[in-house]
Amino acid sequence: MPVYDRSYRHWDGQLKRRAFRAWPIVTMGVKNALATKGGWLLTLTLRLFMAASCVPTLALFLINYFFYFRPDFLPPEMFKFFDQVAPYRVIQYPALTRINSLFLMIYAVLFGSGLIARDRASGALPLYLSRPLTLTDYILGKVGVIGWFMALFTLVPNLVLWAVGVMADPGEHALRDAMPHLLPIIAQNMAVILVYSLTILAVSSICRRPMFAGLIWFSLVILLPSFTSMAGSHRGVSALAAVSPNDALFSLGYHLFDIAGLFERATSEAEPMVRANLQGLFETVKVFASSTPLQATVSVLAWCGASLLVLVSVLRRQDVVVEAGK
Amino acid sequence: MSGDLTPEMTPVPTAPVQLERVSHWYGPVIGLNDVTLAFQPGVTGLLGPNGAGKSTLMRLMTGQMAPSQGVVRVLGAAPFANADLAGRLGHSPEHEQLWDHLTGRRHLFVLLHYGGFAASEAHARTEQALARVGLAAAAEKKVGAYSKGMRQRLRIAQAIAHNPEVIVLDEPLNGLDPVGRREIIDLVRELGAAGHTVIVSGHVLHEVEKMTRRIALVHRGRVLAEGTIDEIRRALDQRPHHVRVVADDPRGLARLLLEEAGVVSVRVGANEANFEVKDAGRFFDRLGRVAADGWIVVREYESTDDNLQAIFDYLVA
Repeated sequence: MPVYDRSYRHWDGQLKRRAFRAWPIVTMGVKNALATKGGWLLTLTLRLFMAASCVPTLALFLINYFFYFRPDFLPPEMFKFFDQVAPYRVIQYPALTRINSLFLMIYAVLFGSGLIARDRASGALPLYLSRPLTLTDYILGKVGVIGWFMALFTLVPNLVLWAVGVMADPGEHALRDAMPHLLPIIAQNMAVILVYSLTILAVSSICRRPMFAGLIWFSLVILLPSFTSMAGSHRGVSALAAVSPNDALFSLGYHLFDIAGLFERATSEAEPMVRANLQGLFETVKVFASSTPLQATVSVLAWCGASLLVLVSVLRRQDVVVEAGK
Repeated sequence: MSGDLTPEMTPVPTAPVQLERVSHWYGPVIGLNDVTLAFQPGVTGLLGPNGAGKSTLMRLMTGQMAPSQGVVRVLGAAPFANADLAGRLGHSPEHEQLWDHLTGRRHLFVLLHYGGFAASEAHARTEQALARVGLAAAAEKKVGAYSKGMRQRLRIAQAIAHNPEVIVLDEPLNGLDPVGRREIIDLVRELGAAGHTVIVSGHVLHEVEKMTRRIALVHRGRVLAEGTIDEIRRALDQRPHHVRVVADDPRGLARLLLEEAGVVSVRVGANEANFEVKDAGRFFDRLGRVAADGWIVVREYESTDDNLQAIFDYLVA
């Protein structure tokens, strides 16, 4: 009878550092979300939708390029008009975020509603948790997946618009003038990414069917804003409007970019024709931002905090992990 | 960075897996009741009927659940929510826990990558594990298209691919064909012989017996017995041992042995005698002398209840 070596022989190679354990979940999750599932018609629709969501950014880029930086493209009197409007075009950043948020809602449901729900339904939770991954790694990885899509369609377009604006601006101090806009762009879009990502994941964690998660999330971001806006305007209480995540996010952008200050300057400094045109634009923007800075900040933090709380408490429940294995 | 298996010996000062007075409740239902067990390197069979508490025990050992009471220690640490320990543990669960939309190869790669292995190392380990469980030919098929046996092989592959010290296999032979069963039994024995602490649950007793002689018997959330089959059998003193002896003169043999070998009863057939004895050691000693002296020709003998099934029946019935 052979005598075997009874000792365990370990592997002495290096594993990924603790801080980067969530990264494979992000990369694999994004690849998986983009993998073709459901036939050519669905794939084509998704690709077309993705292309359509680039249109607002492209349109703003073209407006910037041809109307502000190409004097030869427009008649002189029109170029003069746009030249006067140019100092106020910072409004395009929160406006772009607002427009893109319509696409983001679709992406949140498409790519986020099943991220945890499917893991629960297919019993994959123990697969993650039987690896050297903590619950934090798992949550970070899932936030990374949906955050990647959110960033791709809101933060990246804004940054591209900003960078292209700086590059195309023939002015001597183009970069210096544009620098103050960078932080508000990042801050508002990160708030959008975090609120949308965490809320959809929280909803996904309480459902086992992605469709239900999508429906609940839509109710939160579409029905709740409608209800709170109506209640807020009826009662004249702006805090009620801030309950809605969308209202809070766009109010935050409104205050971060100091749109009210910009409007004041426009009314005092700009020529009558420019003033009249800007006034209409500002009034439109103001409608979407009815909360004070404090209300908006508290609302954004509360949505993120509550979502995290739901996520952690659901995923920490042993029966959720165990049910996944059945 | 890749690395090779090191030849150094890593001594294990205490049992790699220890449970001390562990209980676990599912609401008002008790899953495990005051269980104290220790698992040493090598293969240990965890036996018990369905609902006995085997899977609960395995979930506690692999850190999927925390005990309601008591202490579970795996490699010296509490396994619940212990991510670092998870890298030294391999678990093949009983139920489906697979991503059907991935290929077998991709599935293994993803899990190794999640486990912290760099892509190149994860690829190499994926191929090794696939070959080891006999799944290399089907590696490019989607897991959703796998047969039950192939899924079982994949579950085992993901449990051993990262070369863990402790391997917990919940009903690893479920769904496998006879050839597959043979291969996995050999694999489990190999793993045990290589120094891994392998804990295998099952209720097909003769198959567990082929993997190991060391068992823990669980029933209704309690541990009924623990040790090698022989040790447990010896400990069951109140149960007489059954011995079948084929001899030329079974009646004469019965007469000789009845005198002094602690025989409780005997049934004599045409060419065999079936004994019930209290002290098996003394009986075999006497039988050997009878055969050696040539008084009666003894052709063969066997202990018919010195096996897992008999022990299981005695303890659980």
